[in-house]
Amino acid sequence: MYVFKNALKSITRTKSRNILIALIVVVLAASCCVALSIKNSATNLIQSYEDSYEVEAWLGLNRQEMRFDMNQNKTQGNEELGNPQDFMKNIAELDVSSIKTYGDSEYVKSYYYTIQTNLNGSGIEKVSMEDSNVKYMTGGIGKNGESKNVGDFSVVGYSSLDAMTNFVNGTYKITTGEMFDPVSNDNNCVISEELAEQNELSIGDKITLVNPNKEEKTYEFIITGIYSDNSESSEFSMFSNAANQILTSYNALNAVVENSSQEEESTLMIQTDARFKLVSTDVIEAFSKELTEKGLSSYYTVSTNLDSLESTLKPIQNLSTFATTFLIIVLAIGGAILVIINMINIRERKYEIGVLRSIGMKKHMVLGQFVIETFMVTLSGIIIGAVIGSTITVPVANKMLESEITSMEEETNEVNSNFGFSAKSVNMTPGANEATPGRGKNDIKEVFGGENVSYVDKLNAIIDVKTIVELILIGVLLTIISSSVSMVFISRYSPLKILSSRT
Amino acid sequence: MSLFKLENVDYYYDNHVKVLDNINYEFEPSKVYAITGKSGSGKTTLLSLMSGLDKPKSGKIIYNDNDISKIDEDKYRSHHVGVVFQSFNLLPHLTAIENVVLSMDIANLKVGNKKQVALSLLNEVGLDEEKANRRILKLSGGEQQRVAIARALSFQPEVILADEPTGNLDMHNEKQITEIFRRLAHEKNKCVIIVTHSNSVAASADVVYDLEKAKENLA
Repeated sequence: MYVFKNALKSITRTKSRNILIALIVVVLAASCCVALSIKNSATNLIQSYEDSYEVEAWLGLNRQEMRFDMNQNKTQGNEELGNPQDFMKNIAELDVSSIKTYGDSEYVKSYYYTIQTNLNGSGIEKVSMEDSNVKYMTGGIGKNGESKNVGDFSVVGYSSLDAMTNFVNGTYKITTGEMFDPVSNDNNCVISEELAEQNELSIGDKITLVNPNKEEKTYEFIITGIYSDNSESSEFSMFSNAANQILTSYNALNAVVENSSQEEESTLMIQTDARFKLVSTDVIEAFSKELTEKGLSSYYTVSTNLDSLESTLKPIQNLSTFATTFLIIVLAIGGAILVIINMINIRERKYEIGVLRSIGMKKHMVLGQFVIETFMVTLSGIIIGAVIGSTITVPVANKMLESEITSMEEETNEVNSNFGFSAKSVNMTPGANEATPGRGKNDIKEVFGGENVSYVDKLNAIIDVKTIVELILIGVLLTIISSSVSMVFISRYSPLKILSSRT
Repeated sequence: MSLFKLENVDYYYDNHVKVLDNINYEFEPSKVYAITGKSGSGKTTLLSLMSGLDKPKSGKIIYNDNDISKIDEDKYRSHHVGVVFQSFNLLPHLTAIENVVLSMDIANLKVGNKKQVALSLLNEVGLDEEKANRRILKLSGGEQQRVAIARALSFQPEVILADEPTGNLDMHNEKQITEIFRRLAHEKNKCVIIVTHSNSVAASADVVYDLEKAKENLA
């Protein structure tokens, strides 16, 4: 107890020395506080983003590898894989039953799928493509290589509302009527405002769609809703304008497809797409492995929307890395300064140590007094530093984040300008495409971050319990480091040596 | 019966020149002893050995039948021998009372009001309350020496060791300090051992040990 009392007296009666040490600790603590709270808040934010982020996986055909294998096959005269048509056939078809098998997994939270085909209209005209300057093909190659007619309207069947991403993200919006029931077998559909205007169609009207391969086969759909397209530039495929899309339920379109398959000549060309919402970001590899085990062809690759998450979090991650580096540097420099000050301090207090030891105070008690003094001064400095740090953390963190985002955007714009893209020219749809041999315009923008990447631009850097505990630990660490000089000195020198060297 | 005994004590520094050679002294309670000798004769070294701050190269220092090299040196200094240093060795950031109380704390002395006890000790050596509450640097040399004596007495040791206690004082103060030591020995039964080169201090002692003579006898 007297050691504590003596330490207090020593602090209060040698103010200038202790104020100097406390000031250094205040600066150190404020810097550490800012760095720690930025680091911890960034880590929490990243974790919460990752936890709440819906990781979506989809299957894409690796056409480059397929072409390579086909060419190899041809060059080597290997008949095993047969001609290109047979080769295509050998690749397991991505049908709905396989999608259901793949979706039945512990790694999948939910999944949905779409099928898409092209049909002609009877009594309705497609929206002209001239306005959008899009040229489109009037024919195509079927899965088996035979020439096929391509219809005027792209009909898409959805398995659930989740699958209708354009409605989920607000690109499309029902302006009249309502959405069809996605699990219904009824031939209900929604059409675009442009298509409705051109053909003077309204809710409840029936439209007749025609099999492009056999005109006798017609299918009637009732319009339940009309949607507006709010995208800056219209989405398009190689075959149709987005305005010529007719959206219906999977069951309804599947019935059409099955009906058309009754005769080979009327068989429709369909494209199936599936999305799997995974339970977390950690299961991607395991899910991919499971799909291979379930028989997914090696020509399919599993793609995810993780790039988007990484792009969103990149400034925060950079900030967190910077904060960690800054913390280490501050601690190293601060620790060194404190050790030097303590060395000077101990030299000044050599006499005091000698006196205390000569009147019988034990080494560990003298050391205890010095450690208590250092700890009390350090703790006061840390408390003041933490208060200062907590007031400047939020503005500092957000300023740094803002500068990081600006720097990343400048970098992105520079890369885009190298490709000749203007920042707003193309509506980016990250991850919407299947895997392709090379990266296209949208992909380039996706890689470097396009205008649709919404960075996390606010960091609520607060001092939480974890930060306070870490600050106290830093205080203890600094006390130990700076007291180490006292420890060495007190244990090495005898009181007689100290006192005789003074006299 | 002797309280303190030096048996064949030798001491030399690193150059192997002997400072103390075969010293055999005995000390009893209730007496004032003066250890005299010229400068460099080993007086202060002898006091350092007796206070446990240093160890003899050979021989023994016996206190209450115990070889002090075998007992805890910190406890020996804080409980059994009170040392009055030539340069006082007081803590300047503390007051006179606080210096005395600190010594009591180190000795873990169980007394009711340590400040009151310290004040009465300071009064005994001639310091009033106002001076007792001054910081050390605001006291004169003579007053500082009195504080050092009060501190040495604070834990009620049987032996008082004083190294040139009047070396820095004027004649008036020297006389007063010498009188305090005599009182301590004769009235409070302390064994007071003073290392001095002052003839007047030596003259006031009950027993004088001359280190020069010890060397001559040995030769």
